Amino acid sequence: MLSTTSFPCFVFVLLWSSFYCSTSNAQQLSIGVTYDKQPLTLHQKYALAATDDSVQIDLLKFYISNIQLMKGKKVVHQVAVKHWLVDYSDTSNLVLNLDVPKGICYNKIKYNIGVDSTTNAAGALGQDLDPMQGMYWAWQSGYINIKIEGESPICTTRDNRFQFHLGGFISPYYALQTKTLKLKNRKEIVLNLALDQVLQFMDLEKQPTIMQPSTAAMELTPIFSSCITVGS
Amino acid sequence: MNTRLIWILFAVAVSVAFGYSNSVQLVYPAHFPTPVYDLQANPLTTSKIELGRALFYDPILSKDNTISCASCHSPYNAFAHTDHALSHGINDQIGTRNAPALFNLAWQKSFMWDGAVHHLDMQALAPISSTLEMGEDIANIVQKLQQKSLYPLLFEQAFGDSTVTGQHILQALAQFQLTLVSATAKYDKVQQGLDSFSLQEQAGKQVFESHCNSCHSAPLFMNNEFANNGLKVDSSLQDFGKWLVSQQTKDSLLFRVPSLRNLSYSYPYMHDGRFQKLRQVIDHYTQLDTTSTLLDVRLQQSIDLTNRQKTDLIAFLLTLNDPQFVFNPDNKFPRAILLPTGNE
Repeated sequence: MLSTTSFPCFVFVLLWSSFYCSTSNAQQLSIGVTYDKQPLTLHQKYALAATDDSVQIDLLKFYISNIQLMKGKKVVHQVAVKHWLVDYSDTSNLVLNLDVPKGICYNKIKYNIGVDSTTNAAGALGQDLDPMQGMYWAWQSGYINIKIEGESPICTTRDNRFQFHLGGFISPYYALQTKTLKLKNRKEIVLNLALDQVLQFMDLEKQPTIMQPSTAAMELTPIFSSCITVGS
Repeated sequence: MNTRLIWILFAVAVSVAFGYSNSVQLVYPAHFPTPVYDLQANPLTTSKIELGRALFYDPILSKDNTISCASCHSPYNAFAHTDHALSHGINDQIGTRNAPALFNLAWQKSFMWDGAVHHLDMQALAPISSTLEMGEDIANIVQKLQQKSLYPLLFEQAFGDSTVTGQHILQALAQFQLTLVSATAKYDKVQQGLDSFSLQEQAGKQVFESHCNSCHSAPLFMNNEFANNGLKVDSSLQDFGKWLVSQQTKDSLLFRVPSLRNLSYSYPYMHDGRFQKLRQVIDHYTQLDTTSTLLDVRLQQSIDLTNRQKTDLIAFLLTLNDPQFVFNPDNKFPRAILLPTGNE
């Protein structure tokens, strides 16, 4: 049994240990993508679950935006980079410096997958939001939040290609997803996307293409978002 | 180094050395409303407008460097494409819609016949990337422009950075198009007390105000809305307008209500260019099946006009022609930049 004097110390240790407090401003957010629990390699064939077919991913890009670090329900740090385009083909692009001031303590990360409606309705924007990044629908207004492209023999399309361009910023197809995840008590933050789990919800045979804001895009986007977890 | 580049370099040097501000104001008359476009977000400057003008007329924006924006948006046609019902693209391809006239875009809330584009800055991406029109990729245009000797200098002058970006291309194109203000028609001069309507024009104005103004609202003669005006679907195009974008039944067969300014320069009419003459357009509205529930509610009361009234109406519509705008040399092909002496 705890003594009356040691109890407050025990609570303090518990609370203390549930946060990470930055010791420098070098905190980084890393993105990992796995297929069957192994790091995904683009253009490599993988077994497609529940089928005898294979699948390969040739392109994977998505926006993470409005990243915030939280201590409980309180936002303790807003990351300066408002919109980060994760391009899995560019390994140098998979790490973001969070610039957390020294001494800031946090235990959660909050972020959006996609681009918010205000930004979508703004004019021409630069850097990761520059339309030259290939993430802007040209035939209509709006950013593509998530691009997944590849091929599988199960697709009856030309060259067995599948293309999922998920986005939309106008109701009823406002596809932005907001997530809050509890962090592990460590310096580096790793978010891992289990892409094989996303593909389990894609019917590559019947619907190998989503290219516009739609009900199908609205169904798939939260699945993509839910397949991102805090990695080790 | 040719004379053009020397002059551009000189202008850049002067701008930098003296902090020369080349900001300009969008000029429009008092009877116009406040622009919709946020000019503070993309403040007009002479150098950005001129860059946008060069880009607008340069076929380098298309995949095979043959089609410019001006190919389908000619200044002499109020930036429409007279005689062509549907847009023309690379490899002599024909598009699916009539290239609209371009003017008073600062007052337009959305773009394209179906309103698919919500910001003027982003509009250019649609024809640029359409395989039936310019068939090009904005990232590839960035590379092509960066490799030319001309453009890094123009971007440096306009944005203080010689690195070409998609953002700056689109902002410059938007700036040039923002300056395409048509506000010097006879109608405008009457509003300013500088002219007066003839009796026939005045009679036509009354017809217009009774039957047309609720959609084609003065002084812009458009209302930023979309409507079903009773046009039968062209079986070869199968174009259902705004529905193609929203996929919502309520938007089926809705097309933009276009401005009625500069009609003499911008025929043929309607989203598919099916009417060559204004008389055909007016006859369409007087012969509508007003029992159709799909028809815009403002058209569900029959419009009965005598031949005299139709002629009067056309006389009024012609007062919306703006030759001063159409033949404004500031809007024309920038010969000094794109075709300087010695490079022709």
